Amino acid sequence: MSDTSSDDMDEIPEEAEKEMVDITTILDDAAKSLTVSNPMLCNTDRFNLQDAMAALEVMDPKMDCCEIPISEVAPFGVKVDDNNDRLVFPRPVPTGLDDAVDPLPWDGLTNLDAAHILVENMIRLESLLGGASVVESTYTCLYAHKPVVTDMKQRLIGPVSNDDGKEKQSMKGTLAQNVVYASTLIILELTDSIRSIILNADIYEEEDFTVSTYSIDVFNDRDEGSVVNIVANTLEYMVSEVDDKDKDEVDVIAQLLKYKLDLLAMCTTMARLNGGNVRQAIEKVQRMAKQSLQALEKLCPTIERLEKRKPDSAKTTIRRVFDSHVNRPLVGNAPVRAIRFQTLPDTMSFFVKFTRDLDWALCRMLLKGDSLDRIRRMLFVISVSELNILIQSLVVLNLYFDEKIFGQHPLPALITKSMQRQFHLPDTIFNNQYSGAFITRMAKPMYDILKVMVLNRQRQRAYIDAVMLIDWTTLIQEAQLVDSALKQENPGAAPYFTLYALTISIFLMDHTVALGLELDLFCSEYEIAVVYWYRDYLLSSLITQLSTIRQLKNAHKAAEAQMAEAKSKIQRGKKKGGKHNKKAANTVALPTAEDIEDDYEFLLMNLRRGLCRGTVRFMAAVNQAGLIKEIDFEFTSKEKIFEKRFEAFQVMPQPPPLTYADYKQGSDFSSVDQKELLNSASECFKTSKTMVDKLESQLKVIDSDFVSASENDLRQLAKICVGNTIYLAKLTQMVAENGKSSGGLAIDMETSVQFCTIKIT
Amino acid sequence: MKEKKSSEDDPTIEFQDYLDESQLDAVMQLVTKDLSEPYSIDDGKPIGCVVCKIDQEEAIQNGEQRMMKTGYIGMLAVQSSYRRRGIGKSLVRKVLERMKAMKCESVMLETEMSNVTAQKLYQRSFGFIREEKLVRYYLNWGDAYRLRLWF
Repeated sequence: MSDTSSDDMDEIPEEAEKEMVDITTILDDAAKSLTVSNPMLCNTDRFNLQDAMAALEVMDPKMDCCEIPISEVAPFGVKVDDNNDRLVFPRPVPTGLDDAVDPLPWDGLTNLDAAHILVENMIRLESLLGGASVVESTYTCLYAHKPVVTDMKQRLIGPVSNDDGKEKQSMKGTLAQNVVYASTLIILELTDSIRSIILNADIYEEEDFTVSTYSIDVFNDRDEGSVVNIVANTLEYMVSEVDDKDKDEVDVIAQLLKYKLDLLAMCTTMARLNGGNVRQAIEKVQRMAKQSLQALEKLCPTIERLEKRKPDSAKTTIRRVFDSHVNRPLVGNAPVRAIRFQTLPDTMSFFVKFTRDLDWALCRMLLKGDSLDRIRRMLFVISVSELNILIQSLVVLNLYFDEKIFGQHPLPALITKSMQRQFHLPDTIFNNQYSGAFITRMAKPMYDILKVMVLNRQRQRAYIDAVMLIDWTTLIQEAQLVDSALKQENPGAAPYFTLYALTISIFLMDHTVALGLELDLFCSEYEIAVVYWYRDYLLSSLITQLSTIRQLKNAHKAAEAQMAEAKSKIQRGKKKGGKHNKKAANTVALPTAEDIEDDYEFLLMNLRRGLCRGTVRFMAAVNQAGLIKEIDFEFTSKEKIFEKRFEAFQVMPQPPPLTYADYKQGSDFSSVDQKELLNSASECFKTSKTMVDKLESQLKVIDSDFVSASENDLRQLAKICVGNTIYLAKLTQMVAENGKSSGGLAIDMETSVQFCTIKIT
Repeated sequence: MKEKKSSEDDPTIEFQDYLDESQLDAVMQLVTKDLSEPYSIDDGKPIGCVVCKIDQEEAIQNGEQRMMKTGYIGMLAVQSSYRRRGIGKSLVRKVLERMKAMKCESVMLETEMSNVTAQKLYQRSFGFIREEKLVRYYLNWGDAYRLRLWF
């Protein structure tokens, strides 16, 4: 390591500059002299990583021969022992079905072969959706390469005939050949469609999606309509011409072709929604997704049976048709990620989940998300569901189009309704020029909140910390100005806009801390105690704001009811039939479905705060029992770690940012009696368990699509309550004698994503 | 510059700064064979090495953007037969000392999620914190944590 400062690192010393020699010509000549039999530019005995790094700079494609162990490409049944596992070049891209290197199976293709090829294509499709590049997924199927597809087309497609005015191509070749051709085309079409959707949505991460196609030569003599026709014709042909439809392979072929056709239709429809037909189109896709899911679940055992009985002939065919290394030279000389394919059962499970997600995470949300708070909660649930990048992209593409959320709801109107409902406010508040302008101003940051929920967890955290919190700080300041203006017009008005903006900003702060817990970023005993202590503080602030909002709502409702009652009295005085009017006045106070959903979320926040508080006290008790060893770091301090962990909150006006000194003071239980501390921690978890039970009972009267904690989530939280209560009892027993424990400590984050069980061993 | 020091654990081990390309073969042998660990000398034979650098990084503080010096530990490797002797820890300590002296505000590195030993070394011994989870970060599709130590 040099002693020079980093500022000098990029500068080339003057002396070195003078000594530089242009070696381009020498390298060009050397590269030209290379032959296929001796393609190495350097001595292989001394060619190591360091040389390879230098070679990268040269950028000559011949520098990397992309050799692979022969065992990876040996034909099925040929075993290569470790001693003979020499390196060979990958096979070249086939020039057609009758390729000179290794002809592809064609004339002797059986229906069974075709079924296995379709199944294998599903594995490669999963790989594409799992983030692999096209050359390491779709195009590892040799049939998918342009010269082969062109050859297949020439052999199979006869002249076009027009029967009943409908374009239909005459079918040549065997069923197996047509199935392979149709399957190849639909996979190519799906690949393009998937890539286009993901690229348009532009929310992918490196791990989700590979942008580069490595300039692979694609068969473009097709369009969506013609591909759909060819697949539909093949399916039709199967129905009319195949006798043994009961055979597993025929069933697999028919169902997988149908699934791919439906998948293409679902993707393209959802990527092209427009104002005129939004709900009908989504409903159609939802029906299709439900049917596809049913068919897939039914197909899984058949595929499993087919796979178990896979004959050697089919295994040989698969080995000849699929080559994971064929595109290796395209990927270039940089180190490449290992090519990995899922097992067949995992692949089928993936598609089952994927199809289910298409229904509930995409279609159901677009159809049922009718208010801002409901959409936010649905997106929150979606954000923890590990959706595939294609579904994430479809959600983002459809989040806002035609200047409306889901192409259906203008965002300012959604915000207005949300505020009206939360505070029970009259329209007049929003007719003011300042409030109207502020609501419009809030639309973009609100859209950002909805969109951020669809991103990957790590990206959500980074974006909230770096961008959104700062935006919302400005919004809070603007909200205060709007409230001042409103107050001048109406001295009785509460700071509605400030409260609303504050609530959202604290929600974001809590969300970013929760994301850190979900990603397992807090792991030491010290950090666990700190993070739950800070989260308790944030949740308390959030609950305070929400309590104020709820109080205002109740006051407004009560005032409204009083006015209605007074009006009713006047009317009763005027005419008979007061009973009917009294009933009408009482109806005003009844909670709506959304009010009940709000109550559920409010109780959930209280539950989370209870668990945070219990954890902090449990950690303090553990510390008091001598189970935590104090560590002082040589190069950093706990103050510094605290400061950096919560640095993003420094810009927030409310709640005021806390310091390490605040933490030390707030978590100091040294003056508290040990028994009292243990009891107090235990009480927190017992109260939390009561809240879990109450939430569970409320679930019966709430639409499960609109809750941010499902029955399963509640079950996990119940386990946290019970587990910690048990370990607290254990600790109480252990310290009964002399106040100290000699046991061990383990923090288990497995039961719940956001909360831990502190295990005393 | 050649610095000759002995570790507390083993006086026969000498720590040496990188001199020039003549040492690269030995370094490459180490990181190729024992990748994930660095660089010390036993009887003239390298048994471990640490590879690191200093970068300028964009940072946001109180909503303001600024540049800061950040250290980066790229590789730390100790030959398997010399492990459990505190050599890795000594190498990291030396790097941190040097980076702190060179006015770095923090030091970053990535470690495999499955490499619990390395995480313990960085987190428990030096106070690195998990800053980010990097999904499918490695070429073998393994996840990683980005760890950072703030001076």
